[in-house]
Amino acid sequence: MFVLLKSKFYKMNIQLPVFIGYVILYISFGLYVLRPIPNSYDLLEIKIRFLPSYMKWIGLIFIVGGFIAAFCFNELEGFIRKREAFFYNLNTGLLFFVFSKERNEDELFLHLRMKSLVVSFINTIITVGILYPLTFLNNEATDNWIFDFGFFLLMLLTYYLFYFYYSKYRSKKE
Amino acid sequence: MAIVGTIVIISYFIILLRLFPAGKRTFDVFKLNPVLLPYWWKFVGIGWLLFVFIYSIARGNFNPSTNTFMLSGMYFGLLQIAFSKEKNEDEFAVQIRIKAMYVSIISLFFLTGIYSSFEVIEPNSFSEKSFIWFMMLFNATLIVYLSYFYVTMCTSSNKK
Repeated sequence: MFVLLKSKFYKMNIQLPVFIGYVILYISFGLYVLRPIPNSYDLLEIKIRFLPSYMKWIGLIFIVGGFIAAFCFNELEGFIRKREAFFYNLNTGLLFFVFSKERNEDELFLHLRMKSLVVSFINTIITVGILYPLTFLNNEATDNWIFDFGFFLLMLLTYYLFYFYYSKYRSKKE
Repeated sequence: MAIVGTIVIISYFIILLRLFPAGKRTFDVFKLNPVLLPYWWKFVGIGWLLFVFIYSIARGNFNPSTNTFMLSGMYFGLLQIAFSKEKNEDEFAVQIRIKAMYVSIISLFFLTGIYSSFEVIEPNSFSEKSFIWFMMLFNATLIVYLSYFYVTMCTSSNKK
């Protein structure tokens, strides 16, 4: 019985559970942060909820795991390419990092977060607009990592982190 | 068609680079105040959207998954409507604009995450058609932003 179960476990396709796990993680995370109110699009009622401060360390574990997956293993079960494993781990870790509270959170930080996200989104739009025509000149570039969603999210989040921590540092100095 | 394309690309960069004042080269977010387009530019954006829709209907190709002209033209028109001022631009409108953008970009994050995890099952399913997917996601973000912004403005003006 045990042997049969074991063999079934090895034969089971692990890609589908990984996919469903990622979808459930993203949906629950989004519902936790935005906390939607039914039948209401009034922004003044929506309050954004952030994760507690210790989730930053869990995000850091995800980021380190992404680097380990990219450089230490040759083949990964559940992932067809190593690139996906790297980008998903990195983006999940950065999302935990971005949506968790600071140690001394106050009213100013919400404003800082909102403004730096908007600025980084505009920067990302400009970068995509520059990168796309450059890569379209190369006709055979279909399997390019610039075209991936993973790279897009990574670009947005790194811009955001840079603007956020730079402005926080500047406001502390003054 | 190529001339229209180059004009669109150049004006896309002008609109976006105009948002950040050239004199102040700071990375401090508190000092960066985006310069928006004037109020009457909204009608230019609406006219552009109408032109794109009418042109693609006249060509007989109204399917967004094959017509890249319609998708990118819609994105360009929505961008002009999104980044232009209100008739009476005050502190309240600025705050609501930033918050609406924030909520819509968070929804973009989670949409992108859900779509990209589909590549675990089928590799290269999105990178082959990534231009269409990117345009669809940006359009969705701008539509969510505009609907949140105008619903909140209308409800707050009704309360007064």
